[in-house]
Amino acid sequence: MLRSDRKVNFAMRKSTIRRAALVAAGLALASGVAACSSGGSSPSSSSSGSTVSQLNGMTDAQLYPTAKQEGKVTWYTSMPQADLPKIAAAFEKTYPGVTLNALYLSGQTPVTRVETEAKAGSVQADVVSGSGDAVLLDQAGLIDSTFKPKDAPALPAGLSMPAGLASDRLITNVITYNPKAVAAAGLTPPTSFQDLTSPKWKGKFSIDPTTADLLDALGPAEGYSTVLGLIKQLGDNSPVFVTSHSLAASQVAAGTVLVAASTYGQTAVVDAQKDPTTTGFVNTNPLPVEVSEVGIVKNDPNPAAARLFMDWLISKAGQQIVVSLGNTSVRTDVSNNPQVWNPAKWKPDFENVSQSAAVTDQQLQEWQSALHYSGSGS
Amino acid sequence: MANAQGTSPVPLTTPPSALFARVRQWFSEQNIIFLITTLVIAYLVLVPVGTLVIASFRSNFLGFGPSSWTLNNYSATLGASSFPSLIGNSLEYAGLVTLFATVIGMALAWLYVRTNTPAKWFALLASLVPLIIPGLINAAAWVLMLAPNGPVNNAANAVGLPRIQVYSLTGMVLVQTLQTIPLAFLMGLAMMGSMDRSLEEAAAVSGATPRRTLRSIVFPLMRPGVLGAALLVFVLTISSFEVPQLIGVPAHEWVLTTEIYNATSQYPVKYGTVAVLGMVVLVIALLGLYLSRRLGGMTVRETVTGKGFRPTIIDLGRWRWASFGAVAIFGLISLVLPVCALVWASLLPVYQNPSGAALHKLTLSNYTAIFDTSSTMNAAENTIVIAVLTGLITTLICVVAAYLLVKTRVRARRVLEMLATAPIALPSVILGVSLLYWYLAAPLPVHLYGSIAILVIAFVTGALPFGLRFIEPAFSQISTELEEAAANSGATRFQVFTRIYLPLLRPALTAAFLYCFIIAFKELTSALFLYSPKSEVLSVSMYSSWIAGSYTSVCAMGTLMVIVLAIAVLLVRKLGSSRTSRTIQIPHVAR
Repeated sequence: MLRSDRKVNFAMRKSTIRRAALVAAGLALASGVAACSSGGSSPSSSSSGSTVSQLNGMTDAQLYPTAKQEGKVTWYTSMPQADLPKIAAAFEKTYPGVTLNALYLSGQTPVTRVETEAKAGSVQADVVSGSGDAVLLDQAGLIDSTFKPKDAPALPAGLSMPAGLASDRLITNVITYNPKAVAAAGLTPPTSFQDLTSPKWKGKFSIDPTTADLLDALGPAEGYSTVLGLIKQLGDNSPVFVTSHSLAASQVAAGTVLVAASTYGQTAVVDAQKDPTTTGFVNTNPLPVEVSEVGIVKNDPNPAAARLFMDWLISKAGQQIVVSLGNTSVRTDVSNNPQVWNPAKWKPDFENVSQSAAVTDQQLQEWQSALHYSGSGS
Repeated sequence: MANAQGTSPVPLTTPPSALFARVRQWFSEQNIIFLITTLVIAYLVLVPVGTLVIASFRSNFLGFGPSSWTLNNYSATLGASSFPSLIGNSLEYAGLVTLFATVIGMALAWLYVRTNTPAKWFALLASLVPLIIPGLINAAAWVLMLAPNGPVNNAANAVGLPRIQVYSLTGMVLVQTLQTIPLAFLMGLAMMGSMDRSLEEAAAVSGATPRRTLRSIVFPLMRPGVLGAALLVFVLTISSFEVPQLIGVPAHEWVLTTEIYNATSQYPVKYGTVAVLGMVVLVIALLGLYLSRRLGGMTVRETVTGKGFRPTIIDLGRWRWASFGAVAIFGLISLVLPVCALVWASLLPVYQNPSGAALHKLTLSNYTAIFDTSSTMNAAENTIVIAVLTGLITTLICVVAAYLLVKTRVRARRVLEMLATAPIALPSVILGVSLLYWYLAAPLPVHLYGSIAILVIAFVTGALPFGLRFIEPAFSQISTELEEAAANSGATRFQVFTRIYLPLLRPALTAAFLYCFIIAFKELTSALFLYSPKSEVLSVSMYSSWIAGSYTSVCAMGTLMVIVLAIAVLLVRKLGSSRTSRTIQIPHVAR
């Protein structure tokens, strides 16, 4: 380890060069971090300088050049992750030069993330969609309600939606089961939610406690207290908690849980087509249906691309892609999958789309309380 | 100055020149470097803690409305009827894992160091490899294997053993124990490898039976080290997230970390509850760290810098095959099964149990999809940039800090050491939440939220203690004579540092860089709070894919990640096999 003084002195001659190299490396490092930090800033207007009101008055053909300048649009959605690349490919094929950056977020995460970004003054989402997500954000003043989506489809009778929002799909909730695993356990597949309250299903089915979808959808038509009573019975039967509907479907297919009480109809139909021995599903009657709404985030970084994408998503062309992936559309000019959507066979019970955030929060608390979800004072 | 009589004056005050000299001395190059280093580390460590404390006392932290000081967050959270069960669950989970991991880890270390067990290298391999498997991947592999009709339960059923319900406290304890056994094992190696056999020989010469020697000599010598290891396992487990989230939540087994995550995931976010629960985790972790340092810290350090001992090898006779069986079973459970499950699932389009029919469905499509998905490739790029920056910055800070701690006599250097090692008690979930709060609430000129810089800050903070543990002992081994000789030759402090110390420290610095790189590469918990679409990292991509139900994609990403990290670990061990070999193992013991 020891070196002679001569070696040390020899080394000293190069010290200036070494020092310069070290300083340069330090500067490079510092500039790297500074460059990283600049990633958080976001523009509040279109890159062309157009104001939001000007953009709102443009046709899609007029929006496209500006959207191309922006280059991308970021979409927070609860739509199944597997569908997103296909939707992105279809949109980008229609509008080359505008990249769709779709981010799957489950539960209420889209709402909490957008709110956090707004508080940070660094909004990154352009478009948000999901059941109740855009409505909650709208009530928090975080949705651009001045935008009137073009060719927005009419909602089913009795439903209404705040200004600036439109429906991008209907979400049916179905019971999914693993035929092979259910048979191996000596059971027969359930046909209703009531079936799952039976002791023979104790601990053998899952439910997603992060969204009160069954309560929201069935409550208005079947009676809130009646449905809450059913949920309490389900909660007393020790369900496995799964924090997303998509994960619940995969768990059933993999056999880690025999039955999922709340999964998406469109996921179930696709999984059942892939392998009917590991996925089967039941549309209950009445059928719980959520209305997924889509909206543009206020002060988003790519307002032209956001408008272009939202218009495309709810258009006939966009909805045909959405339906081809197993989803259900509110539009009457596209054909839904009859295995998932047949109002004559399974009466749809719709959630109240425009209920207040306070009511939504209260229902979620009651839902989670009925299921015995949560560990502390949250 | 002399008076009229020529006698020496009695100064009533310090002369200006002396005061100036003292001030100048205080602002010496060394003190300025110390001050800057301490301020940087204090910023990294104290800001998250301070933010958490403030948030816990604010009525509407980060809210859009008015906010005031209050104790309501504490009374509401700690007074909730379910709070005692939350604490009880957390302590039961952490306590059971600590017990099993410490007993098994220490027993394996004893077999490895002190016995002639055949093929005991397998125990070392089976302990080291799980260290590079991300917690999420390990938990995912066990969820698939322990499905009601999964391969492990089917095998157990075939031989008449009861099935294991993965979604249960048992499942949580099993998986987390397997993840923390390597920690106890490596701490046991460090401790037992340096125990002085002369004490045992003296006892034997004095006529003590082996049992009495064990009771009177070996156990008392080991007690501090074992307790220190146990407390570190406890701290690690009480702040763990992946196993409680993937296995505990489905089973209704709530612990503090999952409750914190739950409170941040729901709208409206309950910032007060999050902060109070964070304070509870922090207090428990700090207490554990304090006890760990009191009971085991010194023992660990002595094993690093003390003289080496060749431990007595005990001939187990025919029992050596029984001990071989124990090591083989450990290796099978800890290493072979999870890795096989991971690779198997990664090769399937849709997950199914291993079978002859499933062999026909094997495909590389999950791997090709990774390279075809721009968001995943973007996450991979972010991960590499963040991990490299974390490694570089942590190493840079730690080398300066270690120099100040080892080679200078700055009075307050213990404060620096305390600050730099404190993040061991700062769980990732706390780091993530508090940094998110800080960079949302603080009136800073630059928005860091959503950038990769905020992730680098979080990871550097978490990696500081490990970087320091690599570099500090290596610095201790370099004689001060070299610095003195260089100084006598006219070298400046900077020249001494860059021309003498850095070349000699190169192996330790490289090892520190790579270890911090690994930590950053697989970190999930803090990243979950701090990422944005622009700054998403691979661990978050894997978690998102898991939540989306894409098991096989998760396993493909996990397999690639393990391969990358394995290469990094091989580099670490190769570099560590030279003069810093004894310092390599110590950072393993802490996370």
